[in-house]
Amino acid sequence: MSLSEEDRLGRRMARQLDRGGLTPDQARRLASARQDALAHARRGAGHLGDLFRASWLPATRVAVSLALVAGVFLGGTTWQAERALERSGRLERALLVDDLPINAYLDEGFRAWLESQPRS
Amino acid sequence: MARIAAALLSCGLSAVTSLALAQADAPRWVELTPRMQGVLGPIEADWKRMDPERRRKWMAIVEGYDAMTPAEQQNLLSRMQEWAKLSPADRELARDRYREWLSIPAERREALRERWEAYQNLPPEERARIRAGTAR
Repeated sequence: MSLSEEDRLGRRMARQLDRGGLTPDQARRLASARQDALAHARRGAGHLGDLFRASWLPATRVAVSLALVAGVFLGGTTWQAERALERSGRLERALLVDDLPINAYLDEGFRAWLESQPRS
Repeated sequence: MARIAAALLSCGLSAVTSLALAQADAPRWVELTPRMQGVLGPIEADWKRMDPERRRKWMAIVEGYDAMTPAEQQNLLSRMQEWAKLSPADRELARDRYREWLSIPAERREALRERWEAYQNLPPEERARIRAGTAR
């Protein structure tokens, strides 16, 4: 893999820095530039975090929090309802394909007649 | 913090999306696949007045139809109309009693199937008399 011009320059600079010989002022400016770069990288990575931290947007914080809670609640409710529907669908399918007809479960006469019969 | 918030937000968004999909996932008859229309054919006339949940329930009921034995397919097709026309309360009652039925040992279930046959062979007036007795 070939190195880009920027990489080669970076390596040359790193070798030079490893040899030392920086003045205190150069070291201080380098440390300051590093801090600036790190702060910039952190800002770029956390837009949503910034939204929460922004003290001038308390209403946004509340609104986003409520939306999150509502979303999670609705999602949980929907998921449970879907699972219940699947379970109920499976039960009804089993009932409809069983040997006994639907009426066997609903005919009160059959139940009464069964109870009046001696147990075998 | 930002990562947690982003994860929560994506959960929330996916929840709202799934809710929207669930609502949309109750198709009109013409939106069903030809195969699904074929299987649900016995209740085509009832489809229009069914609420979205009932439609999705029916789609769950006929899922796996192709994997059923011919006897199971025949049972399902012949009972769909009757099931669709029952009141929600009767369907609930039948589901409850079917759950009871499933809890009975297999050999006793077999005996009960024979009892059902015997009950069906009673003269109609005898069955009517028994039913009238339960209504009192």
